[in-house]
Amino acid sequence: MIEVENLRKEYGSRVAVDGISFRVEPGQIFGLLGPNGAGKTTTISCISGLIRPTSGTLNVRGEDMTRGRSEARRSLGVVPQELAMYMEVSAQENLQYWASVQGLSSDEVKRKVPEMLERVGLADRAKDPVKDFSGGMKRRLNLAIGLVHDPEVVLMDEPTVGVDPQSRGHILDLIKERAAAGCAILYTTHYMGEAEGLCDSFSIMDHGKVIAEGTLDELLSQAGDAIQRQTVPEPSLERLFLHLTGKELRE
Amino acid sequence: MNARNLYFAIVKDLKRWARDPVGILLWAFIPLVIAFVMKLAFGGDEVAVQAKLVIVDPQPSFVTGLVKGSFSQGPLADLFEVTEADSADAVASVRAGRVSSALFLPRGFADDYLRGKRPQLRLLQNPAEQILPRISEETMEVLIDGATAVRTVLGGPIEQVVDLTQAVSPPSDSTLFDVTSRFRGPAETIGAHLFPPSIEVVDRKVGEGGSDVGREDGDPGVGFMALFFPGVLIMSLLFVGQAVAGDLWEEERIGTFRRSQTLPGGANYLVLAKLIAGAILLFVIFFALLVVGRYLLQIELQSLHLAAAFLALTGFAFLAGLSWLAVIAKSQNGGAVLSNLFIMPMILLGGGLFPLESMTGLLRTIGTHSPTGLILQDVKGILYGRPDWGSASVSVAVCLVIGLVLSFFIARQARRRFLGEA
Ligand SMILES: Nc1ncnc2c1ncn2[C@@H]1O[C@H](COP(=O)(O)OP(=O)(O)O)[C@@H](O)[C@H]1O
Ligand SMILES: [Mg+2]
Repeated sequence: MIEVENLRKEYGSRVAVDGISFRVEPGQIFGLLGPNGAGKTTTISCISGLIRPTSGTLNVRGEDMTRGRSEARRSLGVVPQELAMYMEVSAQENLQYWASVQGLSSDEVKRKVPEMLERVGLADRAKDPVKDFSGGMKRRLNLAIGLVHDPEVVLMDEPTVGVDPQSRGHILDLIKERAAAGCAILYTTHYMGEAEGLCDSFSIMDHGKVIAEGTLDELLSQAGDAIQRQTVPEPSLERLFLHLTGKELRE
Repeated sequence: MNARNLYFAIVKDLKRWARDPVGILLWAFIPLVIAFVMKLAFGGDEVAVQAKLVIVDPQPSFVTGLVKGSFSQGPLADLFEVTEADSADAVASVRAGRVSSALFLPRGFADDYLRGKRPQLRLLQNPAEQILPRISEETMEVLIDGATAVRTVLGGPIEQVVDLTQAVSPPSDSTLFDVTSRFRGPAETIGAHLFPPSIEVVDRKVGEGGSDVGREDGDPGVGFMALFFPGVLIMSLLFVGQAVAGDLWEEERIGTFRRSQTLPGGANYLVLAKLIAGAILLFVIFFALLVVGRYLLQIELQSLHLAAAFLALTGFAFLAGLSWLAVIAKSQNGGAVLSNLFIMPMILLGGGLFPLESMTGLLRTIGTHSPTGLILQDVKGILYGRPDWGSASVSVAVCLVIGLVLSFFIARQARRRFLGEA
């Protein structure tokens, strides 16, 4: 579904993404992990066609995403890192607008929007302006906007930043549900605990490069003793992550 | 471009503006407030409502003098009664309700200002008063933006601009003759440097609600407000246009531009939709202003709906031009400064603040051939019962073409600016 090969993006002399490759299959939740500044958002922006890669290939459903307006965009759902919605109007109006411009017919909009509002737990606040919402509610709406048109390929950029555990649980359940329905999901985060329970397969990025990849078991066995030795409880992805990327603070 | 998306985006913008109309309405109606004040000043016995403003200036300088001076000159002088006090007294006065608001010019204000930083002003408001403090707040923004632009355009001779503002302070009696007479001294002095031919006096005395100004071109006789009112429309057009242009940056800031760019058709529809929604908004605003002009100010205006439609359709090109300037700049504030470079000359020379009828010579030639001057000719024709539909249709057609062509460049430039793409 998503095939990224040797993707490279330079901003002037700064290399934001340095030759990474990965694949995401239907039904899979692929975790692209990394500290701030690792290049996650840049990778997602390249796949969604927002910015042009310096080199490398990007295919979604077999179509080259670097070549202008591809048909594959119709089956793409994007949940951006920022809360990309209109604060003055209601949740329902936001969802109706985005569903419409994402290509749903007015009948589909009438059917899907209330369904989706219900699904993300915003049905009873549907008519309130978004500016009155809590952080968690806005995040749920941000997710709903990216999913309302039933995309087959979903790119999610840190969709749970700054939300409470309840909203987080709600969001993660919805993502799993979509994967079970056959979506290919690319998920970025720097919350390791979250990724551990959600993703089937991972790439860990730092400074634009993939520094480890595989399933959780594969990753932990690759690291082997290095992380087990210092730990008394079960080795976890969080510890592996810190082992791989080091402890100094990022941007 | 997808016509469906275009439609939804137009509705989206209109809804957003309707839910949060205060900002845009203030921009739309500030020129009317100025006109009202002028009307009161020229109208004879009526008394102007004043906002009492106290200014705290711990580090007086030429620049702070300019700010303070702006409140005691020109039309603003009638809107504000300005005093100065130290910080503690100012706070006490606001608390006690003796003044509407207190404006604190920070230390280093002049330095910041001259280095091109946007200075931080603090306005302490009397919570009991709703409208007057809000006016001071908005007026300050106009002044700062305006003064910044003037400084940029003229590269320094701010004193001359101060002289100019003094030159237009409204006279105490009710004749336009007086305004123009007052122009003579200062205008002649600065004229040689700033506006070469200067503004010459129209040597004709006008009575109450005067009826024979600017007859020399065969213009029909119009009253004082009738003379100034079209300028109000122009100022509203420019101010609202700037607000709409700034909304593109807002879409960038909140991430909706990027989100739209990931759609199959890209974000081009978003730009054109905002210009069209802006033109619809202009129609509503102009219609409201014209109704106020006709029924409250009792100006004999005709064909209000046609005039509003004409202004909205030609306004489309102004919206596009201002939006283009907004996205050429590297930031939202930079965009505001850049569009001020266009707006300020239009307001000063293009029939905004000063009626073109009161200018002569080269100034008048420039004014009447400026974009706003050309629009004004058509709209005055419509409003005062001498429409030239041929000329008006050409103006509309030209403006629509300019707007459509520009919208393509705006979308391209917005992608470059907001996504960093070539
Ligand atoms: N438009 C840009 N211009 C220059 N540098 C950028 C730009 N966008 C991102 N970067 C840089 O590229 C690197 C990767 O950023 P990003 O992809 O946002 O990281 P992440 O999403 O993993 O936090 C960072 O060093 C960031 O500063
Ligand atoms: Mg990021």
